Amino acid sequence: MKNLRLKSARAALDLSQQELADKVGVSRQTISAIEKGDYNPTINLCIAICKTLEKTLDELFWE
Amino acid sequence: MSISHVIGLIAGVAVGILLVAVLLKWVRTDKGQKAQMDERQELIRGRGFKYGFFSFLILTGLYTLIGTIVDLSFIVFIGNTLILCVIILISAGIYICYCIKNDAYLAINENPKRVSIMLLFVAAINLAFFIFNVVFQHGIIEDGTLSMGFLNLLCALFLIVLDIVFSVHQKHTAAEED
Repeated sequence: MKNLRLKSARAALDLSQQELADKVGVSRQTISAIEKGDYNPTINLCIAICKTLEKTLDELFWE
Repeated sequence: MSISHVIGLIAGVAVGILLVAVLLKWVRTDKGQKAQMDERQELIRGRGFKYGFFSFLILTGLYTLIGTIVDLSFIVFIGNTLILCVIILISAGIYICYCIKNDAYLAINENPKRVSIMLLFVAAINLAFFIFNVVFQHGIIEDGTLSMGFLNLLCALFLIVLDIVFSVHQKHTAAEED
């Protein structure tokens, strides 16, 4: 399932996929895969993304 | 095998290892020794390794099975060692192509252009060894079988194909970036 909340949170901070990937320490393709719903990140990666985008886990990843 | 051959072999392996170490450091964008893979890439690599390993088992099994059923005397021309090396190349190719297709071949701290150059450079070295073997050493046929120098040609072709697959995928990935 696509993660549009992540995409919009990223866009709200005017970050590209590459920039978010660099801040979080993963590849751009991993961020792309998470947004498309092709990959489910581990809890550690979820937390790192949430801290970078200044959102909570519920706001980005809870269905 | 004479002492000089053994020493030459050891020296060649040592030079090869040193060259690999230098090239692997050169392709990194940071000064790190290790390729940094993220969790998704590690997962994909694990799957790719599984596919490559099982491909190796199946191909080796098939080769052994066919050898017991069919007269493979024509294989004598190619040689068992060369066939096993081809099986290894195919299995490695399956693993690497799976990683490339799923964006798990290039590490986070590696430069894609330098990786491509490295592949072509190693292919060129293999090609040079093949030509040296053919022109100055045993030629393409040695004792009625294809010489091991032919393996250098196969490795060169393998690396060139990998480089093409890698480069095409990089271009495709670059077009996807938002």
